[in-house]
Amino acid sequence: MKLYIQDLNFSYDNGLIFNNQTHTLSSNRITLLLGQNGSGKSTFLKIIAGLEKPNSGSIKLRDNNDKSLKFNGNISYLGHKLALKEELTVQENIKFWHNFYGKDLLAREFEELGLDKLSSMIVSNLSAGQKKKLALYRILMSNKDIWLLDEPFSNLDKKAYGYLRELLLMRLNNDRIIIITSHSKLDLVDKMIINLDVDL
Amino acid sequence: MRQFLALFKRDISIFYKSKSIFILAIIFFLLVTVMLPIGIGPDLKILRSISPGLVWIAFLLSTLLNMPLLFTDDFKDGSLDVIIIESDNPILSILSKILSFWTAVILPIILFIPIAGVMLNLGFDQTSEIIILLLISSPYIILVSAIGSAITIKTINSGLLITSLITPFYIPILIIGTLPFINNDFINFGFVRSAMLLTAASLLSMVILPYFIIYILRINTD
Repeated sequence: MKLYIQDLNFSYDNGLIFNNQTHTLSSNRITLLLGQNGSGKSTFLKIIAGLEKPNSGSIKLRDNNDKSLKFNGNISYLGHKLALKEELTVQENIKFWHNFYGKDLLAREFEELGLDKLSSMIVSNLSAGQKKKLALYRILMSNKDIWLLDEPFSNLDKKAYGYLRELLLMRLNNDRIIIITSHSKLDLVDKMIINLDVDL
Repeated sequence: MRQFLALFKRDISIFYKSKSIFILAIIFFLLVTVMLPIGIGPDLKILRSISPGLVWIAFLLSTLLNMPLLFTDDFKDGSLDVIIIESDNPILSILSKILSFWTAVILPIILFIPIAGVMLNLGFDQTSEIIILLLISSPYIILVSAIGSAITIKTINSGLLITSLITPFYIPILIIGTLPFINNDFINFGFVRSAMLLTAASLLSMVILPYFIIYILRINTD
């Protein structure tokens, strides 16, 4: 599976964010979007997700036989806002996703992320790191073809970071594209880097 | 349909947990209908002639009072992005949200209309007709209001703005809905004709407005 990004330009009224971004992103490798604050990393992800419209350029998704694929329903998105219902418990949030995605619960990941101990807790009482783990569990559960993760490792302790890093690498396959934004280079093996600071 | 039901169940459980939303809507509705008889005095004839219109206005205002809640929470916590991006059919998912809002906020108000009817000296027939007309027109009312809610999603305290934006679109429905209760020699607009027109408005809005709502939400979320 490949994602073809062609001549992508984006600007707000008060200035250019990025221009002439042309990349071919393939499955089997994690794509790391690097850049400082305001460099347009999140915007780049939102454009791929269809939440923002670029000024010009195109994005196309093709399968391994070069057949065009639709984006609709193929994307899992984790933004700065984690899409958690604060008034519900961890278990209730997970039950909703289970019903929404129609996918099985991931018992092993649930335990290894430490969510089993939190399942009866109201989400608003969780720490930032615990909320991030829960949000990442949603992405794992969704099992979609394209994962767009906006700074997924922020607020995580070293152990959780290591575990999720391994988990992401394990989930890489021929049919999945994973794009991650970050301020700094992450120690992910076999990654493609798009540096928005340099490209600008 | 799986996602439609999942969203509906979750939203209803959230509404159930924060009971204040629909309780406030009902209290507001009953307060408006109680205050009017106090304000106009004990003339039952006048009361009976203006009561149907009053019930309509109280219903519309109670609905508008809560409209900011339709999308705001989901926008704030990022759920709206996920619903738009990850749903197999985003329009169906948004309709699910609107249906849960209708069930949790609009339906309870309609169920309290008989109490308002007693206070306003409305007969059983008149009260039944008002309830039927409001039920028929409620899809139009909630879908038009949802457009206002989608437009003002980023606005803090958007209630007044939604009211200003949406009220003009309520006026035709208000006129058609109250005409059957006006008795004079010039206007003879029966209940059935009113019901048919309101049904047409609701059906048309159900076909067209969800596309507008999803379009506005797409350009308004970030």
